[in-house]
Amino acid sequence: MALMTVVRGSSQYRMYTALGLGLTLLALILLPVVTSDFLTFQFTMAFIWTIAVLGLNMLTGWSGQITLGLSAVFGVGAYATVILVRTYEWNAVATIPVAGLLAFVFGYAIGVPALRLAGLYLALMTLAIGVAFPKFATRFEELTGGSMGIQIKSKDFPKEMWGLSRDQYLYFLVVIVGIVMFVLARNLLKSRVGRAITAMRDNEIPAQTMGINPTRYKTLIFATSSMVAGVAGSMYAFVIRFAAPNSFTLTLSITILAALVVGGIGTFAGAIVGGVFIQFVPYYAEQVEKSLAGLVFGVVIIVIMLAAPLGFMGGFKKARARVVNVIDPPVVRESAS
Amino acid sequence: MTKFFQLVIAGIEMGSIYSMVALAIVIIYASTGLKNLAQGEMAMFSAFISWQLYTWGLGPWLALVLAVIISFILGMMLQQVVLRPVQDSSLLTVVIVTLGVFLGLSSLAGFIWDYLIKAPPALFPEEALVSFGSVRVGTPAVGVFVVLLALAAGLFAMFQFTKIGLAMRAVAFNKETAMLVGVRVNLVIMVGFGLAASLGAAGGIFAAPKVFLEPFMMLTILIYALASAAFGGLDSPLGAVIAGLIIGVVENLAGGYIGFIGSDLKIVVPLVIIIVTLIFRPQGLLGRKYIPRV
Repeated sequence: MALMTVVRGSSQYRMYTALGLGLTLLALILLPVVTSDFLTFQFTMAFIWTIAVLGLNMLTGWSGQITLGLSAVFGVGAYATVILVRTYEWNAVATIPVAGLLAFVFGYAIGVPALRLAGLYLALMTLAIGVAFPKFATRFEELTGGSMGIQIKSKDFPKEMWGLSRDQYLYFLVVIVGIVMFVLARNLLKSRVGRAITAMRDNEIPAQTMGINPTRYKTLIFATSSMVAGVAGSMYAFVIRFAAPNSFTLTLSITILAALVVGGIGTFAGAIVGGVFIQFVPYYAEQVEKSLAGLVFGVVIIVIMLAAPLGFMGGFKKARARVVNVIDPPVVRESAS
Repeated sequence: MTKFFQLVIAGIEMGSIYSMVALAIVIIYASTGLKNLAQGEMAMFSAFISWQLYTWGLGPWLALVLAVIISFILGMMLQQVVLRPVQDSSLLTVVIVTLGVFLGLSSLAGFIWDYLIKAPPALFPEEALVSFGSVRVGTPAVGVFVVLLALAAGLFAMFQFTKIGLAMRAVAFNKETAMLVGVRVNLVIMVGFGLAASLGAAGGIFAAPKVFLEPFMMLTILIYALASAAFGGLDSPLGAVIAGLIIGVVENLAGGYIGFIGSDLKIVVPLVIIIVTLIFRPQGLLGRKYIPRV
């Protein structure tokens, strides 16, 4: 039996939620201060993956669609930042919205033909796009630097800024951008659009009879999820300062998917768990054997889908339920007296 | 015109390989409604098995036959252990699980055989079989095409004249009804998977000398095979064969004549074919039309 019971939406519930968020925020701020630059860098990468996982989650978790072209939109974002900074000498931060916008447009262009039909075809087409993207990036050499890739000079990111080392200020930048993306995603999910998308996922035809236009909303969510992934790609370019075709292969898409599955499909906090998982597991696995990380991901995806499809957050919620029992508020019926 | 015919012949050679992998995808899709995204990686794994047997001293053809038989068994095992528990789950679950198999197999191949490119033995002599004027028809092109035709004919005969073939058609048509008339559906699906793994294995082994043996060798071929399966109709074996050949030829002609595509961007061809198919004829050339019910 749970130790205490909390009603969802009550002031007590909100207090605990605020407390949880506050502690998370505190941990995020303290992390680069108390750990080494090396670990800060690792967490920066983990949170970049988290943003990408959030993007995938918006599509897969909320609307039940699947994409394997995430590596391509991520790559669009990364290339946008690198090219704008290197070739057109933009301020790096100014490229973030442009990268997001380009990824949005790119996602929209994929979504328009692909979403007319069942999810199977979407998987098929995005798979083709995921495989084709590195070939396109190699081909348009003048723009992308071909297979050798394109690099940002380090003068664009000085060694120190505002008393913080490069690893530290990049960490905070990624965390801030990440928080903005989370708030954006949460607000979208709670809005009319979010409700329409969830209704469609659960059963499309009844949703349609209630006046929801599936093509319109699916394309919209596909483009928005691409935008988030594109922003993640832009952040990746900030930290790695380099973009090359073989950084954005299909393996990246599958790795992000693995993170989503591990963290828990359809949850916000799961994205963080997943991001940390795919950053740290390869780091330790590859010290043992180069291909071990892929093997671990493959097996973990299968085992989780077979045994615990809700991932880490599913297990977490079960464990939490032993301590705190969250119940929905009672429905108030108006009595006809 | 020499260039044209030469491109067509090369296209038929690659197209035959696409058709084999597409056939594997279609056989599984028709009997289970499951699109196996790991089919290409399974084929790659079989190609490695064949190469391994060859380096142990077996002749290339004996290695091929043995690898195909081993793939049959491995395919059945994979279905029983990994895919059977999810075959009636949502599309999302199935796609994620097949991707897990995809990543697992390619890493496992890298783990066992590492990532260095290997040169597998040629199965056919390189010289031309016949020449028409200046057009040379290579032995490999004819050989692979003949193997494809033999496989397709064998499959057709199996579907039409054997008991297991009849059972597979029954399962493809309607799983519940088949179960009610006493077909052992799970056994049939298992055999279907084994068969698909063998067909894919043939595709992989014939592709290996052309694209070189390494864990990512089937990635592009998988896209072509999926495009062939979609274009031909996801539940039509005949459609898959025809579409695979068409795509092989179109891809080569586009690469040869359209400067923008060249030899680097041939991947545009299956992409465009997938898009055009799903906009204008979603059920494919010879597929059954699917009408959703609430």
